[in-house]
Amino acid sequence: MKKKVMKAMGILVMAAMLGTSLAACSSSDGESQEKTAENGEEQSAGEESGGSKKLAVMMHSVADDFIYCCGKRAEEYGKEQGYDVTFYDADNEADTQASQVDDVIASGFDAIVLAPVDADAMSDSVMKINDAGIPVTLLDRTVTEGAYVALNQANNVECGYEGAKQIVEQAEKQGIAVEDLKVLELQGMLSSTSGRERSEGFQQGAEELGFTIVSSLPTDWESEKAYNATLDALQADPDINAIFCASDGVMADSVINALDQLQLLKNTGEEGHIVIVTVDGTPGVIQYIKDGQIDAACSQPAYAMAEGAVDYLTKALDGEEEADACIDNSLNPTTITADNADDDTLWGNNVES
Amino acid sequence: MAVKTKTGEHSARDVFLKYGIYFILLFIVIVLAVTSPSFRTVTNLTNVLLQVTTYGCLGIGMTFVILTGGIDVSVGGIMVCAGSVYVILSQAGMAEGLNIFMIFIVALIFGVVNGYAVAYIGMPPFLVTLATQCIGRGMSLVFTGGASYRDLGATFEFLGKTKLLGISIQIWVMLLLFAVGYFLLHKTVYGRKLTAVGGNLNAARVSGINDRLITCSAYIVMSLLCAVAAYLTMARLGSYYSAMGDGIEFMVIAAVVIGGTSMSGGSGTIIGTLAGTILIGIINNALNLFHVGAEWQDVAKGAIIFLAVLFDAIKNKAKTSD
Amino acid sequence: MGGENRNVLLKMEGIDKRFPGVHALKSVDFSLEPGEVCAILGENGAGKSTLMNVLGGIYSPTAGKITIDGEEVVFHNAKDAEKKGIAFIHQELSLFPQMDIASNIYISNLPHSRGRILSKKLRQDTREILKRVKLEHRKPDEIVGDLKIGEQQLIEIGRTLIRGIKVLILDEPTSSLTNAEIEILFEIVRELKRQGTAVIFITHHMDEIYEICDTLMIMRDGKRIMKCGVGDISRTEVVNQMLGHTAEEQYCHPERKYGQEVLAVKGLCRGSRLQNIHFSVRSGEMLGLYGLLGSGRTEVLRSIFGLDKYDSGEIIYMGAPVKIRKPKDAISLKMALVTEDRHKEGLILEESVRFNMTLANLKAIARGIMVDRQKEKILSKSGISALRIKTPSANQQVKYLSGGNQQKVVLSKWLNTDPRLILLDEPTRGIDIGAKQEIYSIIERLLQKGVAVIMVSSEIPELLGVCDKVVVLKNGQQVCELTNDKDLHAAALLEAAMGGE
Repeated sequence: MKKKVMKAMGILVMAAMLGTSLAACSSSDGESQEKTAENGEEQSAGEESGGSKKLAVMMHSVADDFIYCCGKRAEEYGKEQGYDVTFYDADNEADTQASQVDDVIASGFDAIVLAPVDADAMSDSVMKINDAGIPVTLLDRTVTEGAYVALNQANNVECGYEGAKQIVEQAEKQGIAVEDLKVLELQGMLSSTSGRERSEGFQQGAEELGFTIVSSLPTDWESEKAYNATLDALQADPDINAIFCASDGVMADSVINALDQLQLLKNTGEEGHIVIVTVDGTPGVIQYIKDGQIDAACSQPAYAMAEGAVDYLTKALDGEEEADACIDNSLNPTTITADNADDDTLWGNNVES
Repeated sequence: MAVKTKTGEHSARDVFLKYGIYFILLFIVIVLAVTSPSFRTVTNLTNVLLQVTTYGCLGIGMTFVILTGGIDVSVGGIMVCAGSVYVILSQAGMAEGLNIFMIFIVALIFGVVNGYAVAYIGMPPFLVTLATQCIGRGMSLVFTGGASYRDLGATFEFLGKTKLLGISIQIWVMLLLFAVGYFLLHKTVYGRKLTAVGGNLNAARVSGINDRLITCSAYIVMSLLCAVAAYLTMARLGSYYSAMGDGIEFMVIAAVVIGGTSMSGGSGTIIGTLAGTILIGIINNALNLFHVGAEWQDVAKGAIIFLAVLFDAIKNKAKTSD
Repeated sequence: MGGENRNVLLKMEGIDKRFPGVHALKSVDFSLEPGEVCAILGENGAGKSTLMNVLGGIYSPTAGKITIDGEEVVFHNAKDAEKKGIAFIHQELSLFPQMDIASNIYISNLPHSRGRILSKKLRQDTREILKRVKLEHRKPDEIVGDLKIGEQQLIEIGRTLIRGIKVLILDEPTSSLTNAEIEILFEIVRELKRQGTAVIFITHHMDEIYEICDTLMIMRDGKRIMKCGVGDISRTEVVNQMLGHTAEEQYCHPERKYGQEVLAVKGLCRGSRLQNIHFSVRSGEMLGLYGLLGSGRTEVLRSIFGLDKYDSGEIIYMGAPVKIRKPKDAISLKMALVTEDRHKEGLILEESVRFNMTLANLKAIARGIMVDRQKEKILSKSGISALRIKTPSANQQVKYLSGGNQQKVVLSKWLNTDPRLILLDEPTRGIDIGAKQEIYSIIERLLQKGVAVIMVSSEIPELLGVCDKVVVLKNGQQVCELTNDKDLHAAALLEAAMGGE
């Protein structure tokens, strides 16, 4: 079932990009969705088992394992709650997401879980959703304007700050004192909210905890750039002894491969091991932690975020919560180390490969 | 109008336009070597070469395409689509050798579509390849759902980790491809025909050259190199990710144009492309070595592309004023 | 004549124009009275177009003055000339094919109020103009690109009518028109004439001159030869004056031996461009194709060589009918085509002499898939010395060679294919006398070796000097085939091409 939805979505994206059959495609899509909506009307609205309320799960980019898992969990949980769920991916393009929102409004969806591409760029779209009277909960990122039932966000600043704390903690295990730390920070895309906030949190942590960031390099959430940046940074400063990755989904493999290329890849505890702390806690990183190549990850509570988002929508549809309540939930990250890497509640351990 | 008789001597301007890239490259290398101790090491040189393997492979094919007066912006889409086919087949438990073969087959299909549309139907190359880029990217999402994949297989491990004479085997592959590209373009009859078609389509046609087949072939060469690029990138990074090759076409085109290939077709060399590729690699490398922040890196890249196009424009102007 | 005391609309006195290396106009005088319709005649390069470009403000004269209505004027550009009432309709139309008729006519003068186009007024005004150019059946909002070529030309004329025009210049206006359209054009001209507008015709068509024009001026070698009323001169005299005395100057060629028939063209048709062309050429024989611009002479060569498709007709080569679909087919039959424009279709300017020389016969320099540099070197060296091409080396880019040497490179390229039939399209255009003679002697050598040659040329002396027979084309139709014996005169050719008696 999941695969089918993904396929449909992919085809939709393709058609949109081709720019030829967009209208035809989305209208036929809309028709089929309308049909299910009509069926839904016969049943009482808002019932837990109500069956056919239409829920749109709109993710900013499924290229990122975390947001993919978040979205998948929302989709899965939504189905468990009896929604008819459609999954959208904006491929990190604000324009794409804006037009997807337009389509969703036009197709008469009942509720929306939205992970916005950008806080500013998506404000208009959220206001359109408000005008259409559709309850929306936000995931992962906020918007600057517009009303929503709730915002379930991993606290990105906290993720960065926790990362800084873990750098110090894990370095101590390695026998490196705070003042001797020389850290490479691999930033996300600084034009995205989470990229900016994680960097802020990390740099604030570095200042408070008193260690040196020798280099902060951009990766734009791209694996190849992370790989190149790691090579170059270690070339410029061979005494770097710790690396912070703003997102492990796109950076962990690159960093590990780059270190391997430079023959600097050592396991934790070994002489010369470079401490690596990441944000997100993807399955891959959990494996690296188990293998002893990565020290720690600040994992976002993806399940709690996704389930909470759907629950808020159900409440809003049942009238238990105002559609414009704007409840802000900043959820603190869970830290993954070798000690708790097998924990089943980590989202990274719940991803099908 | 009679053409002025210039018997042989090349003006300083001609020399600069022809060899300018090498002077610039040399200049930048010297400046960096003097100012940055970490730049002037063997490791850094191999780092740069390793970093440009993708650009380099694509640049060879792009030189062919641009020589015919065309352009191919679909390269990133072909890469990611071919890669995604590999990963889903692997997931389905197919043999690795077959799957790698499929990378090439998928890329080949894109190349044939691009080439046929441009050469035989006469569609504008920019738009054709923009469309196939979107199709490629979209298809990759259809296949993988946008997820990332690791543990790609033994040959990826081999390509990613093996070194020959202390240099990554990927670099050797890239250099070998440059040698093959050089041979094809400058030493064979095929290369002659390609240059002729790009230099003056009408004259080539009158001279009995099958201009359509030649134009089409350039896109096919390009697509096969996309397959190699995808293979190498996945090997190097140890993973497949759905943003692979995103926006790469512009840096590749910039590298080719900086290397002296004219956007209007006809003139260009493989060695120039190698130089242009390395120049871009070195600039990216230096930006990181000097801890340049994200904002200024973007500005620098924009400036590179601007300069490349400016260089081409100056050259074209010089040509028409002859 | 004797129009000195009559009122003069336009007066050009002592107009002199020099281009680097060319003295294009030599102190030309020209005047027009209101309502005069004057034809300007002359061979290619006689200076007609230059004179008109001076009048149209496109060229500034090196010397001389222009007066309009007694007022001296100086044109710095075409806009200046327009302001003074000069309208120049070029052969290539300057319309916007995607826009509607109204916008095309009023593009530089759209009626508007506060930035908004007054579309009602625009349509009304356009209808007026359409009436004047006899296009009442067209609506102002029709798209110009959808109109017939002739109608487009009338629109172009209509465009000039929105401002007061004193002189209308028509450059070969009838070359793309049907007879009915020509009739409309003439009617418009007559109406303009009644209103006192003077009209200048550049044309080669004798019938038209005698039908519509009052006067004619003949130019030759940048000089004004004469101007008189059309009734005062016979068609034959016009042609003689155009050719001057140099016409009878002859090139000599040695005796040629004709062999078997190499190519025969039978009933070649291609739309309205070519109709029922038929001729044949034997080995060792040289056939000339003569016609004015747009007569279809180049199209004949292109159709034979497979560059253009033809609708019907038969091409018989070495005694057997052949189907040539693309140049490659023609080359494998051992045909060669030296195209008219060597920059556009003959050479790859950025590449070297050797590159260009071997392009039509890459097999000769191939070893497997590779280019054999040694073979290439030998081949290009022998080409350079055989045709005495002046180049510092075989590696020189051809763009640095002179026109004559570039043409020799093109010839050499084709000689490398060892052709049996060579098609030459204006092979000596734009090259100096010395190089011309060399090219003739190269062709002569080929003829003596038994190659058949077809040459298109617009220079009559050249055709008379080197051809064995000449086929004359006019408007895509074959007028006649003339044998080049002592009795063939330049005047006969020109008259045939222009449609004299």
